[in-house]
This record gives sequence, structure tokens and C-alpha cells, in this order.
Amino acid sequence: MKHAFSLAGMFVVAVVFYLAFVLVLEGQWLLPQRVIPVAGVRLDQWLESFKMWAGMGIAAAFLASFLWYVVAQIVYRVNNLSDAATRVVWFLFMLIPALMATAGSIFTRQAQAGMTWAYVFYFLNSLLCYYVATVFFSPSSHKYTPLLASALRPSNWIPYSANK
Amino acid sequence: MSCYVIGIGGTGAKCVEALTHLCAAGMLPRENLYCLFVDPDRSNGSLGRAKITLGQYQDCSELQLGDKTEVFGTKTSIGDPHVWSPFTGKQQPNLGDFFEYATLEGRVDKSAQLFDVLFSDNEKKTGLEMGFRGHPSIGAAIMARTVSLSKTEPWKTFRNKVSADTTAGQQAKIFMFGSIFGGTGASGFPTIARLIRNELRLHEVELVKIGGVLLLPYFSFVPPSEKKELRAVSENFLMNTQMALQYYQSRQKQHDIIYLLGEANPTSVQYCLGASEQKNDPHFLELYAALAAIHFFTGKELKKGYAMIARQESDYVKWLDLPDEKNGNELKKHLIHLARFAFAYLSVFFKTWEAVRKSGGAYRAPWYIDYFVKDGGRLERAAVEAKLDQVKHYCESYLLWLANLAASVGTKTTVQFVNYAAFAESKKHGDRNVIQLRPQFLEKEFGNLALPEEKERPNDLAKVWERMSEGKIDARGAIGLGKFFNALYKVCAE
Repeated sequence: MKHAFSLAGMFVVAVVFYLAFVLVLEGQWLLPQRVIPVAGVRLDQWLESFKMWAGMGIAAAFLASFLWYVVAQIVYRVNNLSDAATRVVWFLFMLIPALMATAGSIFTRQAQAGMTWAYVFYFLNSLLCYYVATVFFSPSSHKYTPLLASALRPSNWIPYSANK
Repeated sequence: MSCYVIGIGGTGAKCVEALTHLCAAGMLPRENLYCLFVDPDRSNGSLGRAKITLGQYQDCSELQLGDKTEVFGTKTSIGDPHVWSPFTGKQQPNLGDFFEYATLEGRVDKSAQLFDVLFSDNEKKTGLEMGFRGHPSIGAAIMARTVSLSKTEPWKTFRNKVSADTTAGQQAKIFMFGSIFGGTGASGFPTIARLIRNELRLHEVELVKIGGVLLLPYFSFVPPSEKKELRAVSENFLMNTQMALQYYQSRQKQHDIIYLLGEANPTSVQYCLGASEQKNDPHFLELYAALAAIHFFTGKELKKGYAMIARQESDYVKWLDLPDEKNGNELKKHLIHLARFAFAYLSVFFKTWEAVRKSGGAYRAPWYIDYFVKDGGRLERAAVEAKLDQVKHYCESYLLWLANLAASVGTKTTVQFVNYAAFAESKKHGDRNVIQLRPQFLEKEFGNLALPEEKERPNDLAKVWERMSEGKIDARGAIGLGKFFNALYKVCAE
């Protein structure tokens, strides 16, 4: 139950990021005012391209957080400090959304102006999505592995236990 | 109700040690236990270990674990001085000096002649700083003359406490541990009971119950043949026991209840005269003795008559053979639960706490942040360190005691209680095997501490880590470090 709750939580974070950030905040408010596509490309066509790559970035973030959860829970079943040194692994999984954001930055239709905003949002969306998902839904044995998680995550907020 | 326990002699002290561990395991929760040790040999090794264990227990019982937790739940106090000896202030006492035999002899008194009939020259002249050397006749004479409930400590405090209980209309239960075959226990057991009984006032007779356990010979030794000094001789144990039992049956009516314990396969122990060298390993019979005390203290009514229990197979002792209403399961639950707690604490949690304190990286141990940083931020660091060390010492003592029970070095009896190889090992020290804790516990065996072994559960310790990291254990009522220990104890029971 606990695992289902955590994995569902990661999915919800990804969905919220896509809906709130990609579709609404960036797709409707921020980017239309800042981006001027190259000749022959309409703004709505450029935005569609942006949303697709941004969505893939968030999907990659969800995949990375999901894999992190599975690996941390199954491979790193720890009972000592040295085996629990998983911060490097957590950073390595961060490469998945980072690579997807890079791919998005390369393959999105080009623009005359405002392209930097798109790059920033690709990275921000995917990395932040991975970060938030792992801060709040990492397995309890690794719950403070994400940077600053000990300050951000309430110590016992997951409503289920390992023995239930 | 208040509980009083008197450990008489080395065996008595070892039984108090066993009772201390049962109290730690929650077998006598929310009771007040006042402990007294009686031994002319204050430096006796078994007595020393019992005192240390009791001290460690008291340190742990100061943890505020909350009212609902039974572990370390018995409030204990110990007499001051901790050990009462009849020889206070005398450096090299002997029986002759003690009764001023030289003076009696000079007066050509009849009492001097009686003294000659009762005691040999060797008995009169041998120094008694290492106990009564297996001669209860010496011990009984000295005890009867020196135990004074109204004049000397710790008897005075003991008497005052019993009086306070009875004045308040509460029951006071006094339990004694001693061997029937040695010197100190055999002489102190009936004598002290008689002195207490004589002191009771009319209104106290119904409220004060006196019980005790007498251990029949359960170990033997081979003394060095060249020495001719006065000493205990294990060949005499059975004869001493026979005579003593006849005495108890016909003359001794001071106790409301007496438990007798014996073992057909005596354990072979190394001979030593006394002092710190007399430090025999814990034995499973002492667990039975401690259970007798629990039975006495918790029994609602003391039934008249005789009851007898025995184990099913003479060469094996199993949980099933232990006297509890659930075929040993209740006791097993408590002892294994505490063993898992001690194992987890020593092998994982204490080491992790030390490592984080030295090298940082607390994020790797979420429970550390939850219990020691977020929740325990206001705790004084030195106090935390001291308390964690105290719990460590108690856990070591407990596991060592448990391992010794299970290993039963020197006996033909196989004790099937605990898979002690998970945390202890037998090492050769000189010509004898000594049980000691492993530097590294076998962590995969954590889920299989109780015997007989069930299916393998190699991930149990990781589950404990995970549950502790969830920070979801209900530790209501616990304060400060007590929250951490409360949580760990509960998780180890799952």
C-alpha cells in the first residue's frame, strides 16, 4: 500500500507539473509573450512543439523518479550507513530528465527570440519534477537522500507503513 | 504491592542477575523492586556481575519510554551498602575471632566446649573473607548473630520500607535466592527468613509474604588436590542437600512458599576459592529461579500444597519446558523481543549513531535525523552520548547472559532457546571455553534468533531500519531519547 501510494504520488506530481506549468503557466502565459518563431512557423505550431518536448521531459522525470524508487527500495535495502550512501545514484537518475531536456532544447523548432526561455523551462520543468517527486515520495530508508529533503519533507507524512 | 528480593551468596546474586533481565524484558512491569545482596565475600565475581547488571538496568530504566511500554518497566532500587556482609570492618575474620573463642576458652566456659564440639580447629581458624567455604554451619552461626533489621544498613531501610507498606495496608512480598548446597546461601536462606519473621508485628503477619527459591546442586568442580585448606567440596553437595531438605521439611516454616530447583546434568565449572575469580557463567536454572520470583510476585494467591514441573527430555531444555501459562510462548516473546532490540541496537543503530557523529552524512540514516536532530535537537549532547552508552552496556550484558544460557558450556544439556551464534561465539581462554560477543553480528540471522529456527528472513534488519526511518511509530508518553528507544523496541517486536 505504501509503495502504491508513493508511486501514485510521483505520477500526480508529474501530471500537476504538466498541467500547471507546461500547459497553463508557460504554454499560455509566459512563452506566447516572449517567443517569436522563425519565418514560416506560426506561434501555435512552435508552442505545440514546446509542449511535446516539455511533456517528454516530465515523462522522463517521472520515469527517473519511478526507477529511483524501485532501485532504492529493492537494490538498496540497507541497514547500515555505508550501503545507504545513495546520493550519487539519486544524482545519476537525474541525468534522465536532464538528457531529455537537452534533447528538447536541440530538437524544438527554432525561434528568432525567446528561445532561452524555452531552454530554461525544459530544464526547470523536468529537473524540478524529478526533485519534488523524490523529495516527497522516496522510500523511507532514503527519504532524506535528495538534497535539502530533511528540511522539506515532514518526517512521517506518508500515511502507510512498511508492515501494512 | 512492593517486591523485595534478597540474593544470598554467589548463586543468589546470579539469580538476581537473571531476574534483572526478566524485568528488563517486561516480565514484572510497573512494580517496585528493592534488591539486597548478602555475601561475606564482597569481591565475589558473580556478585560483581549481578551488581553491574542491576546498575546498567537502573540506568536504562531512567529512559522515559512512556507508560505503555513494559520494557525496563520495573522500578528498582538497591540497598545501601549494595552488599551486606557480616564482616563489616574486619580485615581477616575467622569464626574463632568472631565468637571470641580465645576469651571463652580462657574462662573454661561450657560454651567454649560446645564450640569445640560444633566446629573443628580448621573451621575456627580459617579466614572467611571469601565466604563460608561450603560450610553452612559457620554461616548460620555468624548470620544469626549479625543480621539486625533494626540497627544496621541496608536492613534498617529494608525494614522501614516493609513497615511503610504494611502501615499503608499494602502487601509486601519478600523473595530470597540461595543455593541449598553451598555456604552462604544455605546458611542465610533460613536464618534471614527467621529473623524477618521474628521482627513482624501482629498486623504485618498477613500482609508480609516470604518466599524463596533454593537451588539444588547444579554444578560441580574438581579442586586442586594438593591444597588442604577449608573449602567447598562438590562431592559433599548432594549429602548437604539431603540433610538440608530434611531440615526444611521438618523444622523450617518461615517461608510461605519455597521453590526447589535441580538439574540432573551438573555443569562443570572451574574451581576457585572465592573473590573475583568466582565468576561462574550464567546457567539456565537461574532463569527458572527468576521465573519462580516472577510467579511469587505476580501470583494472586499462594496455593498450599506441592506442585512439580519437569522438562520433557532430560538432555534438552526448550521453551516448551518453561513454566508459563502459554507453553513458554509468553516468556519467549519477551526474551526474544528484547534480544532483537539489543541485537539491532548494537549491530546497527548504535554503530550508525557513532559513525554519523564522527563523520556526518546523517541523510543516509533518516531515523537519525528524525529522532536525534529534528526531535532531539534540544537534548544535551553529552547526556545523549552517556545514555546511549548505558543502553549499549546493558544490551551487551543481556546478549551475553542469553548466549551463556543457550551455550551451557560445561554441561551435557542442550538448551534450545536462542540461536546465540548470531551474536556470540565460544573462544578458548586457557583451558576453558568462554562465550563472548562477536565483533560483527551475523545480521542475516536477526530474523531467526529464536529456536527452533523458522524460515530464513535475511531482510528483517533492513525492515527494522525502514520502519524506523518512516518515523511513524506511536511513542506517546515517551520523552526525549525515550522516543527513539520506544520506537526501536516496538519495531523489533513486529
